[in-house]
Order: sequence, then C-alpha cells, then structure tokens
Amino acid sequence: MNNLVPLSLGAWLFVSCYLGSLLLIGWIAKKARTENTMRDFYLAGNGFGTLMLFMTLFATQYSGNTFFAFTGATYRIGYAWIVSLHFMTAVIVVYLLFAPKLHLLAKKNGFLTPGDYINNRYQNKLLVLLVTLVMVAVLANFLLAQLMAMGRAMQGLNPESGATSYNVGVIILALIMLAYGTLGGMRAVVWTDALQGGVLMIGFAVLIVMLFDRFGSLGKATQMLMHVDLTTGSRKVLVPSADQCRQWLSYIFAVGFGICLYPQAIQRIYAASSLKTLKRSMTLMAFMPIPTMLISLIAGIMALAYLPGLEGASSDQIFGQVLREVQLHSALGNMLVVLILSAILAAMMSTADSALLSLSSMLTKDVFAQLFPQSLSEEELTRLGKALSCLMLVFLVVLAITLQDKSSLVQLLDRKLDMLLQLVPAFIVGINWKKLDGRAVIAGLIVGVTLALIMAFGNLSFVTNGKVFGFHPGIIALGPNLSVTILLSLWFNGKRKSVKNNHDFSVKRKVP
Amino acid sequence: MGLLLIYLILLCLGIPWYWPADSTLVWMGFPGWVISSIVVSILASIVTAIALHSKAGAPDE
Repeated sequence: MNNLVPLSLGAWLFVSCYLGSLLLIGWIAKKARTENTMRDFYLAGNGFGTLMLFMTLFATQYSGNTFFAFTGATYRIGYAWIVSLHFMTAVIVVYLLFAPKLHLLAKKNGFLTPGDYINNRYQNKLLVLLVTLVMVAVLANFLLAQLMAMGRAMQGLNPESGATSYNVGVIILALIMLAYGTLGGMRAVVWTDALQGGVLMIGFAVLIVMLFDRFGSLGKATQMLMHVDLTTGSRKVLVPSADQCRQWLSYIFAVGFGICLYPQAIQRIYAASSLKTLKRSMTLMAFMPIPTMLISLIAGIMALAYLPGLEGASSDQIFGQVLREVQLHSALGNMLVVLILSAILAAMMSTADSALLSLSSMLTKDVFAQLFPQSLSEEELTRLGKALSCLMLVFLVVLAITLQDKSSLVQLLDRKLDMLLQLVPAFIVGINWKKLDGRAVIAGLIVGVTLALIMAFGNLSFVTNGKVFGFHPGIIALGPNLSVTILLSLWFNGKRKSVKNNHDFSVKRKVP
Repeated sequence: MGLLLIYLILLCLGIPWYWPADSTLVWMGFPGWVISSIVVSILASIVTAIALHSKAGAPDE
C-alpha cells in the first residue's frame, strides 16, 4: 500500500479510534464470560449461534489480506484467477466430508483442540504430538505472515518513516491484539471478526461502484484487455492454457482440503452451539465465494486495464494504487479508503489473534497438559495459555522485525497448505473409515511431510516455481501418504484379526 | 456416491479446458468461459447447501 495519498490528521485519528475500539470489544467480551475455564476462553463456551459462527468462519476463510492479495493475483494472471471462486467453494465441499461428524463427536466428548479429536479417535499420544507439531509450525508461520503484513500496511500508510513505521506498527498492533485477545478470548476475536467482515464486504462493494464511476464499465475493461491478448499473445482474458487448467485442479484440491484443516477452523466447528447451527452457517458460507471473489476479481481486472505497468512482486502494490485512484476521485472516496484501511488492519489483527488463540490452546492442552497431566487446575491452565500467547507473540514480533527485508526467506518457509494437506488421512479419512489405524497414520504423515518438504526445498529439476508439473508438492505427497496409511491400516487390521482368531481358538480349546 | 459423481461433473465443467482457445465471446462484461465457470460455481454452492441439509450429505443430531 505504498502508493496511497498521505493520510490527514483526522484520518489518522479515525484509524486510531477504530483500532482502539477493539480494546472496548475485548473488555465487553470479558464481561460476557460465564466461567473462568479453557472452554469459555478458547471456544466461547461452545455457544455460537448461526450468524456469529458464519461471520467467524467467513473471517477465518477470508482474512483482511485476501482482498488485496487476490486483487494482486488477478492483476498478474488476469481472469484465470476466477479459480479462486472454485477453491473457496471447495473448502465448504470438503467441510461436508467431516465437519458435521466432527461437531457431533466434539459435543459428545468435549473437545477443545484438534489434538483432542486425534486422541479420542486413535488413542495414540505420539500421533497427537506429531499432528500438534505440524499444526503449530503452520500456525506460527501464518501468524508471522500476518504480523509482517501488518507492518507493511503501516509502512504504506507512513512511507516517509520507512523501517521505523514497520517496527512501530508491528509492535503497537501486536500489543492491541494481545490486549483484546487476552481480555475476551475467542468471544472477542469472533466479535471483531464479525465487525471487520461486515465493514469489508460493504466497503469493497462501494469501492467497485466507485471504480466503475472513475474508469467506466467492466465490459470496456475486458474488451481493452482482450485486444492486448490478441495483439501480444498474452492470456489475461482468453481461455486459460492447458498448463493453467492443470494448476486450477491443483489449487481446487490443495486449498479445498488445506484451509479447512487449519486448527482455528477446526475449533470453530467445535464452537457451534448445535449441528443445526453449524449446517446453517455452512450453507451461508457455501454462497460467500461468489460475491467475495468476484469483488477482488473485478478490482484486479479494472486495475489491469487502467493502471497497467506493475510487474512481478511489485504487482502486489496494485491494491494501494487502486485505493489511491479512489482517494483522488472524490472526498467520499477518500473517506471510504480510510474506512477500508482501518477495517483491513483490524481484520489482519483479528485473523492473527484467532491463530494465536489456537496456538496457545494447543501448546497448553496438547503439549503441556499431556506432559504434566493433572498438575494444574482449569483456571491455572487458562492463565498458562495466556502467558504462552504473550511469549509466542514476543518471539514472532522479534522475528517479523528481523526478517522484514528477507521476504524471499519468508516465502521459502511458506509451505502451510502442503503441510496441512498431510493431515487429511488423520482427520478426514479417519472420521469416515473406522479401520484407519493410528500407527499407519503416523507412518503416512512422516512420509507425506518428508516428501512435501523435499519437493519444496530440494532444488529438484522437475519442480518449477514450487510446483510439480503444475501441482502443489503437498498434493503429490498426499498420494504416498494416503497409500502408506491405507495399506498399513489394512495390514494392521488383518494382523489384529488373525491374533483375535488364534486367541478365540485357544480359548475354545481350553474350555472342556 | 451420487453426490461424488455430481461434484466430479461440476469439477469437469468448472475448469474451462473444453472452451476453444481463441474464443472472444464477452457476455455481461465477462469473457464467456468466465460466465460458464461462475454458473458452475453457483451450482456447486446450491448442491452443497442441499447436501448439508440432507441425510445423505451430513448426519443428523
């Protein structure tokens, strides 16, 4: 967002008040607490109704980052980014495979973390630890990316101060986030999610209308880009190539299966007040990719047609340029941009906070409480969780400040979906196939994660731009992972059956 | 199984591999293949909504 017109004092005051209001939400959420337990702090007492659950699922699936990252992606590849519509719909289709069953199990057994399900289903402590380890690695990376995005956004709002704005931005926003998250837990995060989701949807719809007013219709932009395609051979409007179609398939599976296995997404399935609530919220979610993705697609296409010239990594700055055009267009446009910027910053904080909450719940319940069972009371564990949140955040803030100029290094670490995909057998297959064995899942998980990381970082000749023949390494690695898991499960089951038969036979022989 | 088949058909129709590479059809401001992709996505959303509320797609309490 480095292209914005500098904000006035009044605009800064508005942004400060908007972000400050999050503290008020945290305080109100604290007052709404019914008991001082981990369940109340991390799952809001499993009491989410349809609307709240829908808003928080929406904010979990679409972070503040989504709008401008997807606008940038459309700017780079053109209409082919309509694939985002399909992969976001795929997320809900995949939920259908396991979320209703998981919710019923969670309600029956009082699950709090993803590890609780693994423990209940497989009764294997090593598997709980491995799954938690993968999820903690993914979440820490996710949180770091959100903190760095917050820093860059603040740098964009105050470009003259450069790195100072970035550092101060990361620290102040992390402190606000920690304060309201620690005060109100999941309830505060969900309430701010709801606020940001609503403001962003309305703000972006108005933004599109203003873009049409400023530049002209979408049809005109499409025709202009079509002319460029026909004269230069680019494919920003024309039908995607075979290679792009293959990438679509990979994106649909990778994002569809990956996003719904984020720990914070699983915890939201637990937090629904009833199955009916969960189904209603998911029904609403099934239709959300259409307006959300179309808005960022149209913004990207308008920018591509009327503000061309940005290439490569700098194309990520296109959203700032779009906002600048709207800022310069009218006073109303300037106000709208200030509101959108505030909501984006708050949405980033809210997304980061829900990741932080999940992280602290897993470290407390799946790591500490497993290693030292019955050593602390519920209240003490909740306090420990808050302390762990602080420690993790301090560590990640230091990392975000240290790595600010090493974005390529962060991209290297960014293999979240590839890692999450390796958890498909443990969660999605395991809930639907009773014969799946915990030991087989461990073997499959180790094979899958190792292969995905080798393909991602191994400098292999057949890996181009982080993809294997257009497919995400995580999708390729999921094949061997599933094969090992299923074959070993069948073998373990066969072995168990023969041991049981031998046992029954010897018992029968002993009975006269 | 029927539901899986429907999703497979929608997946095949949603990816525009079957459109002529040089198609220049524009409709309602969008290229023709984008409109077909959006329609398939809307169908997928409708199927998912129906499946969520049917016993075949999701268990009851």
